[in-house]
Amino acid sequence: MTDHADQLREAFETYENQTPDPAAVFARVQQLSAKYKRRRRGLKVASGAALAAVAVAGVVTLPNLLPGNARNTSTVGFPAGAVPTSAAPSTIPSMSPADLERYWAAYFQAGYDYDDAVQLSALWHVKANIGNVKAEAGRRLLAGETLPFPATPNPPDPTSDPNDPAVKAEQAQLAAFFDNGYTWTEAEKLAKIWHLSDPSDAKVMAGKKLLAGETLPVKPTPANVAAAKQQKQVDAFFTKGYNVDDAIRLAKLWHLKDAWAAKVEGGKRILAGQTLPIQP
Amino acid sequence: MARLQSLLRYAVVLTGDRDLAQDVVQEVLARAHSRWRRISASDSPEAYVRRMVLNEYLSWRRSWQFRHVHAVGERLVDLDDARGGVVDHAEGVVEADALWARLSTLGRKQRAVLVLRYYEQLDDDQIAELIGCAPATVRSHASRALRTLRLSERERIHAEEKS
Repeated sequence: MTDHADQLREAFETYENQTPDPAAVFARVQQLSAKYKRRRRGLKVASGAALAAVAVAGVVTLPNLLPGNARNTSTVGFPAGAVPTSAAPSTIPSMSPADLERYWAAYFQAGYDYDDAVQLSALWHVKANIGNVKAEAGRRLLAGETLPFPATPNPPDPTSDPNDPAVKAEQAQLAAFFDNGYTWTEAEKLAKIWHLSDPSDAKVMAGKKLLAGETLPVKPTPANVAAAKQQKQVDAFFTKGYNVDDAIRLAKLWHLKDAWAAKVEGGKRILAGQTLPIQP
Repeated sequence: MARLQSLLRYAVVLTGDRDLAQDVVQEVLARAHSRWRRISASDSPEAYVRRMVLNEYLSWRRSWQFRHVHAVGERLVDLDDARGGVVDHAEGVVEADALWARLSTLGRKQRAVLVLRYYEQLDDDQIAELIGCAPATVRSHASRALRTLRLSERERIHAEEKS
């Protein structure tokens, strides 16, 4: 077991129970599911019988994942007071489950989404569950009111394109920063020196300078330099296709104390262009 | 109910955002509902749905950055509310809070790898299959994520650990 594994598990376990209200999730699933089924029905008029079988199968079996049981899944089975207003204080009045469903439907049908609700929440200065903000907006739409802004179209996928030269350059700069033994601590110091508000930007700038052969005003600790060098060697070991079982075999072969030492030694030899005595 | 809660917990840990977790799970379950016959024929329908949640998270197309930045503050406030406003100074909790905040700076794949490895307890080969990459890429994601989280200095990897 490692320190970092324990720390990560503790962080995950500390926050895992910050879940949304299952009743609200269930209500929305019902609503979305009905919408999808209508869409499918429109597309597959000719295969109505098969669709019905799918729908029935869903109703009968999916409740294993949803609250309630097979008998009540065709209706929204909220327990009393289980509307999603309990999670956070709100200036938005409580709504019945049926109202919530209607309001959410109106909200989504008008093309609004989660991000719009977040913006509405800020504009209205309400600290409420976003689901309630969506419902309040839906209520206003049904009442014939207009919301402060039109529904915003979804932007293109924000995931970085790994083949984008700018992304590649930044990756190389970050790699240079870490591979030279710098860490967050130095990034914070550099950000201060360079008057950058975000140490992450300092990492990129530092990496750029390191790649250009420049010297940085802050030095990494010798221990971190050694650790970074080792990490680079270990990365090379894995990138070549070797795994931990290979490392254990190599450790025995080279009479090293453990597999970690074998990964380091193996990576060192790989980076030097040598061939290891076993194949991955 | 227990399974839905388990799925929601997984989604919260994966996304780091209660509202995004809700959106992702709703979307997935609604789609699962409409093709349940095929899903129920799989070896483990529950694992199948969890995989759908992972894929949905990795391919979520909506305004990520805005949600991301906003949700971090929201979430910490929520947590404080949940504790009844009493600040817990226990070192472990403070560390967990800080680490949770730093996790939000990771890319989606890096975060997913850590969640699958340390929360779902999967090995790198299983993670590679789920994410659709080579095991070496999984290790690279994990390694970079741990560095970003400033955990690498404390790494003590034993021979039997698949790092």
